[in-house]
Amino acid sequence: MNDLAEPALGGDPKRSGIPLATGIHHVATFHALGTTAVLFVTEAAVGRQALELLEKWIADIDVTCSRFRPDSEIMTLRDSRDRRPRKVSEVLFEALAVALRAADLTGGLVDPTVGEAMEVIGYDRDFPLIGASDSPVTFRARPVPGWKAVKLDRSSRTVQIPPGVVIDLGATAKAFCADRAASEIAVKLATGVLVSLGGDIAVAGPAPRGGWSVRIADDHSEPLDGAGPVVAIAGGGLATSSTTVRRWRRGQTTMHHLIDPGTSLPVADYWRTVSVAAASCVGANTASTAAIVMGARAVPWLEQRLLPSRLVGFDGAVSVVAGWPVDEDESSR
Amino acid sequence: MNPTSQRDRAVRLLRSGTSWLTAGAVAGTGLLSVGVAVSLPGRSTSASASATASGSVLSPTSGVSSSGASATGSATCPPMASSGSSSLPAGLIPGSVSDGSSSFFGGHRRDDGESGARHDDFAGGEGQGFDSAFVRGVAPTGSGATGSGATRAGGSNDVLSACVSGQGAQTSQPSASQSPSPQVAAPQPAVSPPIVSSGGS
Repeated sequence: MNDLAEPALGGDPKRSGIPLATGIHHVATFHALGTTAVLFVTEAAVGRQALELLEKWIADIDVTCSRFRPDSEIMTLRDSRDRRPRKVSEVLFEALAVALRAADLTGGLVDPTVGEAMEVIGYDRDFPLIGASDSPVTFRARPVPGWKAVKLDRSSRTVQIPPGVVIDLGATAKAFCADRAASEIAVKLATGVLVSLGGDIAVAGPAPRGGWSVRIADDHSEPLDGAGPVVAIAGGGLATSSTTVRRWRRGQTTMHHLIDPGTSLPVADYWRTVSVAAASCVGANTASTAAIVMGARAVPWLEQRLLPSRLVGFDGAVSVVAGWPVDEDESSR
Repeated sequence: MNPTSQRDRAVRLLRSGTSWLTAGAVAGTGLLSVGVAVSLPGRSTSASASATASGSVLSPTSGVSSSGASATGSATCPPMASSGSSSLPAGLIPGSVSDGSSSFFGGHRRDDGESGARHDDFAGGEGQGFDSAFVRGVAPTGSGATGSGATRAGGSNDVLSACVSGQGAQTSQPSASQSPSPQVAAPQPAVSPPIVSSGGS
């Protein structure tokens, strides 16, 4: 999460050749938080200010929540021998609160205490630095420590993390950042805004005519003219979780980054990719991640919560839920 | 989620011929503004509504403080063949404190008459209150749009959200298959090229 490159205004190579709809202005595409950040606004005049606000949020999240930089606040907490309640920054406190809330709402399927499990399977550094290994490795299935072990006290803004518990905020921190940045940009600069952090998308303020057009893909870095349906959203958040990205090999086993908290191992292959629209990017991300973990139970779970969703199985079959539009190629069959 | 209330809501929608779409945004404190364009199935035109909401109440340790949120909003109606356009500032109707619970995911909202009191039935979260205030404006022609803005502060994760809704004049019966009021408008098929991809990262 520590690779925050200098952004370039208006320099999105993916956008070459594809015209922007009226009223949409691309501000920047840059590397951040170990992935790609993209910023669009509806008011071109505030683009630079919007970028500054987004950069500030990204920097705050990076320095507080990154598991991959030893000087981050969350890593400092881990290194401390003193496991009594510790006062933390407002940003980290809120990020932890969001993560615990996600765990609560999903019955622990999206659990921030998967950090040690991540390290065991080899995801202990920024993903591009993970190499394949042919060395045999033994994994032991066991539940993660569990989110209820982490105690937050809002009145004192303290957190208490038991010894041995490693926090990983990767599931929610980017979405939290996107939500907060988009809201602040919309309010302070009176503009419609779209913030994408690795395909986790938050929009705020007045949407452009026709909404914000988003291609749904397995990988957020796929070309805009690639495969996958294109949908428009006008508010809230849209997130996609997929087990087809961030895969690597340990011994004879293929790993990916979505952990089943019940086993501490990568989630078994059932859904390849799940996209969810929700009132916030955090909500969308939480639901899409939980859906991947819960497998076949995901469809009724999403339906009950009226969460518009698109689920793609490993057999290629597409399921849509709660008003998500049917893929054009599917409807024509 | 309360399935019974959900069904009740759906029935009311069909009977009254109204359609609601909401959009939410999240912030810790401060101001929010949200806009949404609302396409109303079965109608000859579309309605739009926008709202700017402000809130300063977030004390989510045990729900939300009762010091209140405020909202201002406006509603506009696109030109219609017979009535022209209309718009008016919405009046502020103080909200009430109720005992609903909140969720990242949202649920649906039930209107308790015209008094301004609202009760939210949301999925997830037990015993979390919220404090809301909302405004509502009605287009004077009676055939235009209704816009409402609402702030809702609640939940242990310090969420303040703003919602806007649009209500348009009915010109034909809505489809019986129209979905009940969702908290989040479902994505629609895009009419313009994609600007970004949502995928795994």
